Amino acid sequence: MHKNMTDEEIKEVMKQTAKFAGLDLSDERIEADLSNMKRHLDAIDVVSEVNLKLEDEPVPTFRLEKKS
Amino acid sequence: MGVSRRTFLKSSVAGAAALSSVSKAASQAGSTDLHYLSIAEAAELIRTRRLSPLELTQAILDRIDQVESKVLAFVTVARDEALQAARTAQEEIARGQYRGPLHGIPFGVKDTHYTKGIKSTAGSPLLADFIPTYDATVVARMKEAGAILIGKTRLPAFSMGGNTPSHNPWDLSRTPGGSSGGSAVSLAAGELAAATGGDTSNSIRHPATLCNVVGMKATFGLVSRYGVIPISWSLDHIGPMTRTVTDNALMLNVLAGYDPQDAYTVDVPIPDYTKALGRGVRGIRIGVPRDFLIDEFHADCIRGFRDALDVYKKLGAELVEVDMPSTLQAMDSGQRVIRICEAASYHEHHLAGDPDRYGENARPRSEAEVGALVPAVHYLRAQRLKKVFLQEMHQLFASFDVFITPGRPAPAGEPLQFRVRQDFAKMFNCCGYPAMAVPAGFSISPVGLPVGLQIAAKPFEEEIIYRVAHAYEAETDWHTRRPNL
Repeated sequence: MHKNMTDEEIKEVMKQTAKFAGLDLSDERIEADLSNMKRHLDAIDVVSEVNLKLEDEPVPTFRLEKKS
Repeated sequence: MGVSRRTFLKSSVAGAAALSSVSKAASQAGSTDLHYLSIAEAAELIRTRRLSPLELTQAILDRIDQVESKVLAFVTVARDEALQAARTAQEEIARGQYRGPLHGIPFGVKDTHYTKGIKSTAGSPLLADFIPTYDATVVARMKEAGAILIGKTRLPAFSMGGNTPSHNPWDLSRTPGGSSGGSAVSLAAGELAAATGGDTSNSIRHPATLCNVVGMKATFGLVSRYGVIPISWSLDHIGPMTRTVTDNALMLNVLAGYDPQDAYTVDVPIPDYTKALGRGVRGIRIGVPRDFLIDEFHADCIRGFRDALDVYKKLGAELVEVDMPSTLQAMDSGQRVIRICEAASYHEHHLAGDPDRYGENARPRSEAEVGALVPAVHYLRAQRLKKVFLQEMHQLFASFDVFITPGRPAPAGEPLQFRVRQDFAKMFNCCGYPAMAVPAGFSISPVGLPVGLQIAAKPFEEEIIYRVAHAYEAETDWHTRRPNL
């Protein structure tokens, strides 16, 4: 997803997305967060490569029931 | 009570020899110092009034005075409160109101745990002055069992990271791991016999392995997280850390159980985990990863693992090589996505306040900021992946009773030549299955760094983990080794 983007392009997306998230990130903060952001984008890419079925619902808060 | 130390030490050795089967293994530790008594040993001496909680607490505080400047295990030592609680415990026991094996036992908790009237900083300058008005459920349960809160143990800020700002007692120049590193250090250094940790990405098991102690990440929902500063609500686990398997079981007996304040806890009967000890492993099926999955691990970690498997074979267990779930690697990445998104939600309040209070170059601030930029669809995709992963794990664990791996790919601070394919750690945070770190020897090169095992089982089957871990511990003496401080 982000592999073809330059650092400047990623930083610009971060700055704009931060506004939607209600964060006022300075250029200094964007710079500080860039490498971290790229690691997380890598992780998102890996997850995105898995073919999920439409029936696969999210398990945001799972409870494991005891079997016996 | 009032025995002299010399008299006490003689009587403690004699007393230890007469302990019940539960504490027999612990007696093999050969402890000759009060501060290195196991819970089981100390409990027997307290129950029979040959040791008072006050004597034990004072010995622990003396030990802290002796070694804390070297290891830096604590954020806060609550000396006055501990001595007062010890006097109360002593009076109760004198009146015949003995509460059980943790009565009068000093303990520490990770500094993410709320402690009423005592600072709970989560290792961050942001919370440097935060004093909770109530105890976390696990703290309250320990106190109800009569245990004596000694202090709050160190961690990287908000539990984010594997390097605790403490020193590994086995080599003071090396990391103890993290994030529950202060707890592991305090146990290895003889500053405590009981501590708690939190585990979102291996944070109990990692420092336990690097410091030669026992750390249990119990099943998700077995131990309440109420009153514990989170990283990630759906991945966080709380659990006991001790020097022996028996002690760990004794502690989980107290910590486990439904808590109406934590909606994720499950209302299931809690067994006496010590009853599983001493049953051996004959006929137990042990799943192990195929060789190629660990061939890039440090040679001493592989050796410790193989030696342990030889012990299990000798004891009559059956080894089964198994394939990992197809979604395992993706789930490791999904764990990262879930973790930072939930962390961002928790930290929203702090980011909106005065984020400079996180301090310079603070990882929690960066994680929270980045997590806030991840679209919800990616978070939900990771949660959907978790469902698939859970199904695969259920199928995988149908073919064996426990799954055993090396505790860590490398000893403390040792670089790896290659990036390991899988460290077998975060997978158990994602599926919520119980997993425990136990000591499994020491490295040869470099000399003397702990290596460990990880033993995992199906949900709510902590008993078999304790059974299998105890069988190995009884055949080895790794848990009796002490660092030279």
